[in-house]
Amino acid sequence: MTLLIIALITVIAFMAINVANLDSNAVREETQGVRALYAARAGLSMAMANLTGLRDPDWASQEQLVVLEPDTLSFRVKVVPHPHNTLPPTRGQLAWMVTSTGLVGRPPYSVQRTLEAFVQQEPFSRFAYFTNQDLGANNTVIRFVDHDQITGPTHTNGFYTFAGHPKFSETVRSANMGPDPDNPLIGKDPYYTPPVEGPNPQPARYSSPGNGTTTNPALFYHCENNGSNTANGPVALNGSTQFSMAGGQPYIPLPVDNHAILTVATENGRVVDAPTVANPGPQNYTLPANESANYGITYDENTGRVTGFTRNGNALAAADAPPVFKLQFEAAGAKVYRWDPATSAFRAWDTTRRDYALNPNSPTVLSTTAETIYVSGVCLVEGTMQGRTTLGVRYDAHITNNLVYADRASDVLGIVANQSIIVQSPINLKRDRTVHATMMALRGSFTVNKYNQGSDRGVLHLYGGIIQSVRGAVGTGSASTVSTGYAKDYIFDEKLIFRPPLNFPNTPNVYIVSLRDLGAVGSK
Amino acid sequence: MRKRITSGLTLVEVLLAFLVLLIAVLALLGLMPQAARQGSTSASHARAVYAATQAMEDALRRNTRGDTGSLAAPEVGPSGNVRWYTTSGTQSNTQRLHVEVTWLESNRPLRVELESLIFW
Repeated sequence: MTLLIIALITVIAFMAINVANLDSNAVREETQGVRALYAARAGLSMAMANLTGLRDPDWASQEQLVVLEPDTLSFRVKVVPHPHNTLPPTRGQLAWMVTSTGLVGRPPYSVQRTLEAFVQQEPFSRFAYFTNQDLGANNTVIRFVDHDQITGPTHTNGFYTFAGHPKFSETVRSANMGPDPDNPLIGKDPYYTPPVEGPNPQPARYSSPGNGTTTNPALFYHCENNGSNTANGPVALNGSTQFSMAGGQPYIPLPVDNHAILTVATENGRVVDAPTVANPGPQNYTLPANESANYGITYDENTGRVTGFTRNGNALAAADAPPVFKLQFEAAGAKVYRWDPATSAFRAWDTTRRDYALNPNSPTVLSTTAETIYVSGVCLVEGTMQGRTTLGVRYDAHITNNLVYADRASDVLGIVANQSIIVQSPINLKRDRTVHATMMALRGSFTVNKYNQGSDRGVLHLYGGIIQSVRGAVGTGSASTVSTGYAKDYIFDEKLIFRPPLNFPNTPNVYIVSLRDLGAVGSK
Repeated sequence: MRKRITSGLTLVEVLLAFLVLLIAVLALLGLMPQAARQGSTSASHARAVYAATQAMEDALRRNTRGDTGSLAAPEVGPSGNVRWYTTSGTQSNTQRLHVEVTWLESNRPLRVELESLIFW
């Protein structure tokens, strides 16, 4: 009996020791695996940095070995271009397969961990909200306040101003640099000091009167009255304060103009324009791409008529004004009309003859299935859109009625205007407006006509995204009531992340579409 | 008269065997607390790796130059702390990102370190 007890104790003791040893080994292996994982992530970061801005699209077609710590930590990385990259680059986003392996120890390496990432150029459509500067026209401060809520990725090249706790679904990113990083006087966050690189590197700093100096990028934002960050600042959708800003982010330049869309539309899409005249004026479309004058229209939102033309805000004769087109989206495509100043009416337009249609009831109908359309003039849009289309507009785009998808699950529309995108509606009529699109206003804003006039117009329902140079307003009022213009109901269309409108502009960055962790091997 | 032959162990032999066994068992029992300590250390080590991974993911997501900070890491005990900071990389467009979790285990200072490299 005694011997049996002794044997039992012996067995239990051995088991306990073995379990402890197994535990210890497992944790050691897990640690090594995690170290290898972040070495592999370093390889992925290296590949993405080299692909950013297409510095070298063919970078690392041969496997590269980079040592982080001699005999301890290193990684191997290889980039293989996607076969469709050989198509004309403007036909879509370039993509690559990146394989990065983190290596622990010395050759033949005790632990290896491999990541496979499919990366591609980042379309601007993946932003729910993007501004080149988050100040309004004339540098007026526009705040995010308590009742504002934004879902989806956000970024500003400038800086945000917060009063209260607006809600965001993702980290709120800013560059704190203003619209021109080479000119620090333009819209730069006055409290922000960029990092210093070189032999004596310094981290980015933020010094605001209310918060002192911090190097924590989560605190790089303006607060109302320079108050404390605990009183003001972004919070998660559930109100959690365990959520923050990421200031000092890389600057993401907006395209100077939408000329690239014109190029693609000319080669493979459809261009809507009018012939030049004998006495070339603004309507002569051979204007240089960097033409800086702003051409616009005055529009009677009650009658839907064009009542005048402007150049840099000054009245312009109709003969000198660029053409005004209207695209009426329908399931079959987009019907094209042109404003005829002579008859003060929109008339059916033939895009091939570049003249009014012979049959006044038969305008050109542009396919929107998978199309790139460029309107060389001012463009009015409305209707029900079906397909996957990017619409480039030379001057302003006006949304004159609801603009919706036939099928929210699959349709995508991108509007890229060189100037502003303006929602047109009667100022005293309370009727919700719905817009399904991702919109870029390259030199202007997404805004509402006379947003500070009239009365409450209801709710502006947006399903898509807004990318604008200068922050635009859609209404005025307090946190709980709307005095003029619209209240906002903005929902990000998540399919825009991976399925942008055809030929929608890309940022210089690349991003990870899918990431596969093949796991750790080795270390026994 | 035939002489009776007996076989077996003498009392001394039996006592000696018990003594040897007792020493062995006591030695094994003495290892039990060590095994328990090792198990406890492994568990806190695993939690430290998890805390370090979380901090690394947060730092990589922020993707900010000069990022630095420190937080309590109660999951590895009252003295647990997670710290992250960056140092210069070998190239001008790189930064090494370090995360370290430190804690006390039976008054012994322990540490888990992770690092990655950020390219710009």
